[in-house]
Amino acid sequence: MNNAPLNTPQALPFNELWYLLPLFVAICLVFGATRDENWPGILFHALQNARWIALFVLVVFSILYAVSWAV
Amino acid sequence: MSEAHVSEAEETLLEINLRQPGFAALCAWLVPGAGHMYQGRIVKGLLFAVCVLGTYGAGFVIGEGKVVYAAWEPEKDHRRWQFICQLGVGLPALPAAIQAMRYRQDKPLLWNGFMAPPEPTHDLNTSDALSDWNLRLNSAFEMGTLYTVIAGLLNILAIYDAFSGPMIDIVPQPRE
Repeated sequence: MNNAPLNTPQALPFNELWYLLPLFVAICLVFGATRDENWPGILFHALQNARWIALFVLVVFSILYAVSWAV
Repeated sequence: MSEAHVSEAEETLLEINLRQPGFAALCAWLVPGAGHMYQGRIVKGLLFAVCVLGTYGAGFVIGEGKVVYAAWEPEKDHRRWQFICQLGVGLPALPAAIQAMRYRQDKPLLWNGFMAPPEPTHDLNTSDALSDWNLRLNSAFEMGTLYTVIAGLLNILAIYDAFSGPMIDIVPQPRE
């Protein structure tokens, strides 16, 4: 974690986005586990969730990137 | 969907013995994964335990143990709403509730102030504990909070699963 002074913008630095990866995995696995009882089904649903979440994040990123580029 | 179709689809589903769902849900809240293990769903219990406790523990470490505390003092403009979500993890978050109760009753804090709420001040000339934590931890404070909040929310899904089983889609079978 960085220790930037308080007077600088406190947006999440890019390298700290790696912290979101374990969260992403945990969320997908738990979501998948609430959809099935056996490992193959759990993994299938976890991968489906991962696809949807990744797509959602990509769309939001694209919109924000486009806005930041246009402004 | 007709009853015949539902029953045909249900026949293809697994039979899960949801032993004492209420008690299992309570266990699942207190210790993530424990409710499933009580029902004999060991692998799933381990999965929930690793995911929920791992996420909570990681957040706790990232936030250096400062991110889980309970405080609700509107008069001091200090509301830790995140604790409502963190409480979903059960026992690991309960010390914060005990400390908050003792803090409100002006009793001495336990465990050397572990998981105790910070003392906010609104004097600009003196720093308060919460400001110090934010200054020192910077974005780690937010990240640790995010991890622990998500762990609590994920465990709510696990509690539901222990109480009523997985939300398996019942797909209607085509008519022959």
